[in-house]
Amino acid sequence: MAKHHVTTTINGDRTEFLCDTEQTLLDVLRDELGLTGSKEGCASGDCGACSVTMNGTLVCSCLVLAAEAQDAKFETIEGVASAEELHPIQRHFLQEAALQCGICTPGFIVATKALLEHNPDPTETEARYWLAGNLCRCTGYDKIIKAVMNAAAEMRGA
Amino acid sequence: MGNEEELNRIIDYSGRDYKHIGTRPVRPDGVDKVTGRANFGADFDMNGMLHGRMVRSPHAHAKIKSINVAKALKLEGVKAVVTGKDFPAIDPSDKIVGEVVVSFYDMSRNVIARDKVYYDGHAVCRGGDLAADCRTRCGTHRSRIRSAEARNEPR
Repeated sequence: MAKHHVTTTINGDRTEFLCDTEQTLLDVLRDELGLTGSKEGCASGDCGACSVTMNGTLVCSCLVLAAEAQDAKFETIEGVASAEELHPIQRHFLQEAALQCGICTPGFIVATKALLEHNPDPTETEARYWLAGNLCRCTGYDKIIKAVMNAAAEMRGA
Repeated sequence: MGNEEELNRIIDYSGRDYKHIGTRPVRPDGVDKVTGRANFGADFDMNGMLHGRMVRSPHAHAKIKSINVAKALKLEGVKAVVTGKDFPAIDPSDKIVGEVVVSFYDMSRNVIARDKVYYDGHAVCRGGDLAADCRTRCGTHRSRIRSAEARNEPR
């Protein structure tokens, strides 16, 4: 079957690609567009390593078919830092040593950004529930939650 | 000088100045990892690179009677198919590997199923293809694997 021609906006840039029907958004991001910051951990929506936002909603890009991306706006880990500086969330992840191997990190940072856009002042419990769909197998979650809470405080100007 | 006194002298770090101990350095690979720029194994892409796809056992416990790879090899784009038969049978003797002694016997029988599959999802066959989307094509020869004697209850 002929490939689908899809026009999207990714990290603010108009992006076109061709994809097969069965290709996921994650496949296209990584294999067609070279945006390998989103990771494939499980390819079944359990681990959150491929988290991106689609029209402002946090999704697992492995569960979105690329052909569904027509006219949608995506934000990926590649769009979190500006050209000049890291996003406060990224800075706090570094300061709190909230990463080791780094495979889950892009997903956690994208999910945290979505959390803080949705709720700038989360309780620790709310942050833990929000990030329950992101799995980390080396650092554990305390340092990550500490980084999230610190980033939230800084972004609120507290 | 008594033992306790000696110990206190050794473990009293106050006033000592260390370059790294007691500091909170940012890990050197940290910036690359929080920006998604870090390249892990699966993030590399090279010209002419083959993409592999695993075909897994649909049975929890079964003998492999045969694996017919002929049809898979004929599929467009498929360059190679490997099964347990392509892997060497490693003898059960212990080998010195760096600091430890290991027998690779079980590993060589388990990394890809040889004569028996031991769990649902056990790797039985791997296809190499030039295209990144070879998963669907490898899936098509799943039914070629004939397994028998599935035993889901322990005896």
